[in-house]
Amino acid sequence: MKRFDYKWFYGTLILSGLILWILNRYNLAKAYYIQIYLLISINIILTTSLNVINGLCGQFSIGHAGFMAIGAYSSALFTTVLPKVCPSLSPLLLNPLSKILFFLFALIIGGFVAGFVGYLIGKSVLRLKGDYLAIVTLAFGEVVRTSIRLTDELAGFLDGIGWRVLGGIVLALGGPRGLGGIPNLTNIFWACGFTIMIVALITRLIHSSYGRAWVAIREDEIAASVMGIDTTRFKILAFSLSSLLAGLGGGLYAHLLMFIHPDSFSFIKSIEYLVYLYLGGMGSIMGSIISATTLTFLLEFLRIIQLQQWRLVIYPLILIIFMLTRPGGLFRKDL
Amino acid sequence: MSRRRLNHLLFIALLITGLSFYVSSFGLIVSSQQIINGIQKGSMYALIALGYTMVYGIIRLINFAHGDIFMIGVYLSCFTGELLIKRGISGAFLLSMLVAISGCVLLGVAIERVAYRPLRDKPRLTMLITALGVSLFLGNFLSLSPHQLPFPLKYLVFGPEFRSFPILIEEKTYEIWGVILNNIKLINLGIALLLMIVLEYIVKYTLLGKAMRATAFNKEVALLMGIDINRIITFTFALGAGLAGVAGIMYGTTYGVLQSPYLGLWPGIVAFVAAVLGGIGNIPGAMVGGFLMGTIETIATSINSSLGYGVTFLVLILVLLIKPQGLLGKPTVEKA
Amino acid sequence: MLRIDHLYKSFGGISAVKDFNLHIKKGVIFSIIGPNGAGKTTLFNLITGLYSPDRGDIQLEGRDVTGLPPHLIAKMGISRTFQNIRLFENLTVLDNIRVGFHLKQNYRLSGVILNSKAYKKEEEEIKERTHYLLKGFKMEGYQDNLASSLPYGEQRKLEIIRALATNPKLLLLDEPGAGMNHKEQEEITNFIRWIRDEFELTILLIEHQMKVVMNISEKVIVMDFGETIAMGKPQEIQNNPRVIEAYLGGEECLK
Repeated sequence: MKRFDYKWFYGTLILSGLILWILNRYNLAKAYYIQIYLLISINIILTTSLNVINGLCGQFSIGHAGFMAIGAYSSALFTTVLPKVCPSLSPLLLNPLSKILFFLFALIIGGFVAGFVGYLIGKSVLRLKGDYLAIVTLAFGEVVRTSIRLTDELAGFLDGIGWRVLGGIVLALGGPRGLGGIPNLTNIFWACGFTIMIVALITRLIHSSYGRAWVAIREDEIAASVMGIDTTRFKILAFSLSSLLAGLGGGLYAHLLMFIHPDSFSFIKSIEYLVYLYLGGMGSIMGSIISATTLTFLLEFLRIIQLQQWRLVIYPLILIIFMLTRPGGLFRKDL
Repeated sequence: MSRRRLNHLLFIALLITGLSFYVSSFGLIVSSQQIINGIQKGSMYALIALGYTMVYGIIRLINFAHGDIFMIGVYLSCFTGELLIKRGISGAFLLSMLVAISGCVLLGVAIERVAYRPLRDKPRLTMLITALGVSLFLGNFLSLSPHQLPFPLKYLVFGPEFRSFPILIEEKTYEIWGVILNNIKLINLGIALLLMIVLEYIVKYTLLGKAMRATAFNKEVALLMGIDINRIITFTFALGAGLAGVAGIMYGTTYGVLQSPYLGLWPGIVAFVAAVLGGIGNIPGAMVGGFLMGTIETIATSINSSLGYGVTFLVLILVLLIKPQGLLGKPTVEKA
Repeated sequence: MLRIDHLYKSFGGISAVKDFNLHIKKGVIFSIIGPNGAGKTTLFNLITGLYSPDRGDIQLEGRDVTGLPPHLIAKMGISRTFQNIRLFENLTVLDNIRVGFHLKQNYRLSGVILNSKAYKKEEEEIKERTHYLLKGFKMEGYQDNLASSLPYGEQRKLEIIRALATNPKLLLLDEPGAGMNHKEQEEITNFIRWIRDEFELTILLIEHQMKVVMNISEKVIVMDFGETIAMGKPQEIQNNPRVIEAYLGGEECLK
């Protein structure tokens, strides 16, 4: 099978990032273009991570925004809430080197918290199949959103039992008011670096026995188990990895938008990534990359011609039309 | 076997403990008021849940668009009611209900024809995703505001604004032992119960109902028996959508306000959870589940408004993890 | 090498396998026959861990495998094919076999991520072994085709190769000759015998084609309604009145 050479993708991403960076230095490119570049990178990360559990492993999980939210809030907890609560940390954000390390640390924490939650959820939920799994993951996403909305109540409770500091931290998460004042730390370097790392990681995994085990589970779980594949273990692994990467993407997203709200991680957000995934083709990483890029541009285009409210109409229409005419998506599977 | 029974007992014990805890902390009058409100709300959920469960039973599809069909029922009855009252025509309640039912039936059948039928032989998830797409499309499209749209589309959308529902029945309230009842809620509950009995009769005793059950049990064999599968599936969608239409006018008369075309989303989700709780594919299960979810949600909301939201999903997750086949459903043996 | 003692399995009150006993010696080709619904495939599912038995013991070379999950049973050396071919349809022939080598793999996740030497070496080895198998079975021409695009007979063959890739000691074949014509049946008979010798296997097979059964098996066991009604050499079975009775109008079928 002819495999797409991902070097072209890495090259394009680095080159366009570099050009944007230089142009921006000499004030030739608007910050808006950089914003689009960053958004594209983040969307690629989230779509490919969704591809791991849905496209490769074949487990229909549709609560991706929930993991994204966990990553976004956990990383923002470090960069925004903690310096606010204990001011002795804030100098860390002034020194450029410590800022970078601190941000990296926050992102990784966000990813690992999301991954760990994914592991716990996956452990109990992955014995369900098909539409049952879809429903539970959907419900999980909504539970995450509701939980974040309820943080004020939790803070009140913590205050009540005397844990003032923790209560203060939880209160600063904002609950239904959202969490603002997040430092704008996501830049071309991070977005480009993480995107390339994640795409490289996943394409490498696809061609190892891990990827083959996932795909075998997708194709026929019973036959896979008879081949000696511990299907539960590999499903949990795929789910945790997918959640971890979604958490990383969520962290980058939070530090790009500088304001997050529980409702920005609603079911609609999960659906958005499902549309990206389906348009590109389940199981095709290159497909995810191309569709995430195209649809991000499409969205910006709609914004320019003042029709952004049509986004929510166009996504479902694309989904329906694709399911009816080309359920496999635009690109064939990688394995 | 014993584990199944244990889970069953555990669930009932949980329910009773929760209920008695609630009654003891909020007093008998407040709690019976909430329970009665819950049962009334539950009757609406039950009607919607029936549509989910029947469609799932027959083509194994979670018809996400069902909540939006319900929403369209709400809007249709609202428009018809307004028109009839403006013209001073009597019998507005029954007439709007009829319009809501027929509109929903048409829409339900049309969705099946256009979006689901071509996918019936494809992997099941394809149809599920299409259903998600149809649901989102209906909600989002109808929420566009009319004055931003070109000519023909202008008259198709409902717009995102609040609307008040016309008064189709004069409200009267009664008080019995401190508990307040009102005639609208009682009428709605009566209609819901009547429809459930009619449905039970159709499914159990008529030829069409028997054909439905046969198709749900085994499509190939039903086909060999000379049953027109397409007709039966259409009929099932029509039946479910009609019930959603009735639930729509119930919603309008009870709440009196339509927030936006997204209003179908939440009742749709709760009704779906109700169907899963009762055992998806099981008709009496959907009724029981609907009443239970209505009560649980009302009680939880009366404690904290966000809690009502979370508790629904919690019930769903618990049911699927502990007893995926639901309260009344039978466990399935997976074929290797 | 395989010992099954007093195995029971029932579904919702109907017993699919009842007091089943079987001892197989190493290197033997053993056939299970019986009418539809006699519990043969259920027995395979019990041996490979897809179902867990209600009662009874299954031992492979003296080690208890009863009720273990399928992947551990595969690891202990039992592999199988399925009655209704279960290939990984959207994967190429090459990848189907490579999945079969899953148990061979020892490298860790970190190895893949860092593209370590051990990882590359093992992948290379798996590639080599896959090519060796494909060449041995004269299927190189198909290696990049999707499994679902193969002709029926080749799909059956591929399923057997995939099972062989797991390096089994005991191979269970569920109706390898189904839907084949006489010439193809003869081929598959020779093929099974050849793999038994080449890979030093013990083979247990379910088969309806009496010609295949009589030709190939050293011993035959007959099941009906979950019970064993006869066991012995093919010739003995052919003349057993209970067997003929179980196969209604079975005389022709047996000859």
